[in-house]
Amino acid sequence: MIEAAPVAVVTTTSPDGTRAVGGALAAVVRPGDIVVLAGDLGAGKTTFAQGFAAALGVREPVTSPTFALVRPYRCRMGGAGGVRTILHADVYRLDRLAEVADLGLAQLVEDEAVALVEWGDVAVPVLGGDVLQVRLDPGSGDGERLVTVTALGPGWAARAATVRAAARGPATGTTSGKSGKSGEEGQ
Amino acid sequence: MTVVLAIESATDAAGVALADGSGLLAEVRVGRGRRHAETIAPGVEAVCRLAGIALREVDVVVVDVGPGLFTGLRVGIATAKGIAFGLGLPMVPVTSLDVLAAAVAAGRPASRSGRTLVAVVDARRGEVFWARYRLDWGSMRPVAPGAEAGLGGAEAGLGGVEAGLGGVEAGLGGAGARRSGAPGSAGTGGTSGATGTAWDARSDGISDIDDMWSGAGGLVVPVRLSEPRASAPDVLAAEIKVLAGIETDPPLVVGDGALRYAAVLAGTGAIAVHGVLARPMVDVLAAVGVWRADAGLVEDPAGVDALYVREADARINWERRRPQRPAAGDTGGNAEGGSAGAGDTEGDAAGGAAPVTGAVTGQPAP
Ligand SMILES: Nc1ncnc2c1ncn2[C@@H]1O[C@H](COP(=O)(O)OP(=O)(O)O)[C@@H](O)[C@H]1O
Ligand SMILES: [Mg+2]
Repeated sequence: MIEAAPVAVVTTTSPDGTRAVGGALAAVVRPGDIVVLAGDLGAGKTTFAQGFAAALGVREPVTSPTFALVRPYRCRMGGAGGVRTILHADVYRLDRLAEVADLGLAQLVEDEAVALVEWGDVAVPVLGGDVLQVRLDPGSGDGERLVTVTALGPGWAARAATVRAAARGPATGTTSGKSGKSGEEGQ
Repeated sequence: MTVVLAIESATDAAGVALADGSGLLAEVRVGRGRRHAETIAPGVEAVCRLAGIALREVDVVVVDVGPGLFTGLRVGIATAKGIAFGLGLPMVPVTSLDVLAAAVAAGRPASRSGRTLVAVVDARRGEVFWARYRLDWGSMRPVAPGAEAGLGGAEAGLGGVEAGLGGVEAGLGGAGARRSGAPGSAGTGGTSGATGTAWDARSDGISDIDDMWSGAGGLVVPVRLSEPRASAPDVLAAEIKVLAGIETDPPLVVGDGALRYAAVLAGTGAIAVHGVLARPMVDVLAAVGVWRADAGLVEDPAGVDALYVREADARINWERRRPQRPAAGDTGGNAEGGSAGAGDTEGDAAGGAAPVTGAVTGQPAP
């Protein structure tokens, strides 16, 4: 994995708190972006994805795509960037980087899509170009998570300020108003 | 005579062709649109039907192994390997960059052998796959100097007018000339340097179209000078600029990556080959396959795989990460952010659009 300084570190104290951070970061993505979600099983990657998707107007339930590998969700509110589809992927069951490349995410996101890739931190080399990494780690208390957001690559590094602002203020960062309800104490 | 079945799926176009040492028998192509799954299997059937050849009469399966669009390659390579395994046939894997270069070489006037070509495939997300070639004279027969001057002039004129990358290369039509029997037609060189002139320019006696297809009579061939790489277009531009500085003729660039990043490559002094050659073409793939099969360069299907260029051959290092559930109670740091989130119970429908945890959609994998 590429080492880079985190753009933002946020502590959440509930699943909805993590959803709120997801919703806030959804406001900064543009078509073609890939966000990799890192962290152990149960860390909250799918929970983050739920908030992210809800903020872009996805109405279906977002569940772990572990068995489907890649699951597309239509966005009803793509925000300023015009994101029409979220490709929710999980590479946990794959063993070779080639298999991740075969998913073709780098190409699929070209169709006005963004990709959220659970466990994607192991596959950054084949995802090509820039990715934004969101790592979830257990915090000190029950239900607490540390959400560490890192720009891997020059494109995301250039957007660091926007990402930081969004991550710090999830309640105000969303474009849809459909998520982040519990994030008002964010700042 | 060796009959090859060629399958092309490295870009958003797809194609299937049947060919032998005398040339193309049949081809099916679909441009853009990423319709690989719908195109390739029916395409195999179609070319067999059109050529009046049964699949079991095929001797070698030729496949483009990329780099390129991996969703398409997966379909094309799996189909090719399936047929090769099923019929017990050897394969010829060809890189997409070689196919692009071969198409340009096929259309080069002899006067232009020795020139640098960079084949560039769009890798998406701000990167390109590329390799460097020298267009060389396959069997090293000199050509008449007069013919050279004429063609060279046409090319320089076009390139000059269009300034660098925008320029349309003359002589590209040679790829078509190869099949349209251009030798013998004369006098078109002065107009555009397009179809017909490339081969007319030669004075070394090629008059048999079979020679031109098989390469037996000597052709401009691409010699690959670098391994395929993935890089940002500006990194490639810097490399091309260096080449342009040391070579007499401006380097040529070809491929959908060169088209997409034309603006980035424009300042390098390179000349872009016309977009009609920007995607690997299945008839050219078949021709390369015939050459290589006749040279004995065949492989066992088991070893044929997509060319990922990046570190994709590696196994994912799960050992370090594959995990137990996170144990609560380690770090509590809060490096710089605020605290978000309240103690709601999970899975409630915050805002109406929130997911219902535990629901199963049952959608199949795409
Ligand atoms: N602050 C929090 N953020 C996210 N999930 C939390 C949090 N606190 C507790 N949880 C629980 O942790 C689990 C996270 O599961 P999930 O999002 O599916 O993880 P992953 O996709 O990383 O395997 C859920 O059961 C969720 O309720
Ligand atoms: Mg999950």
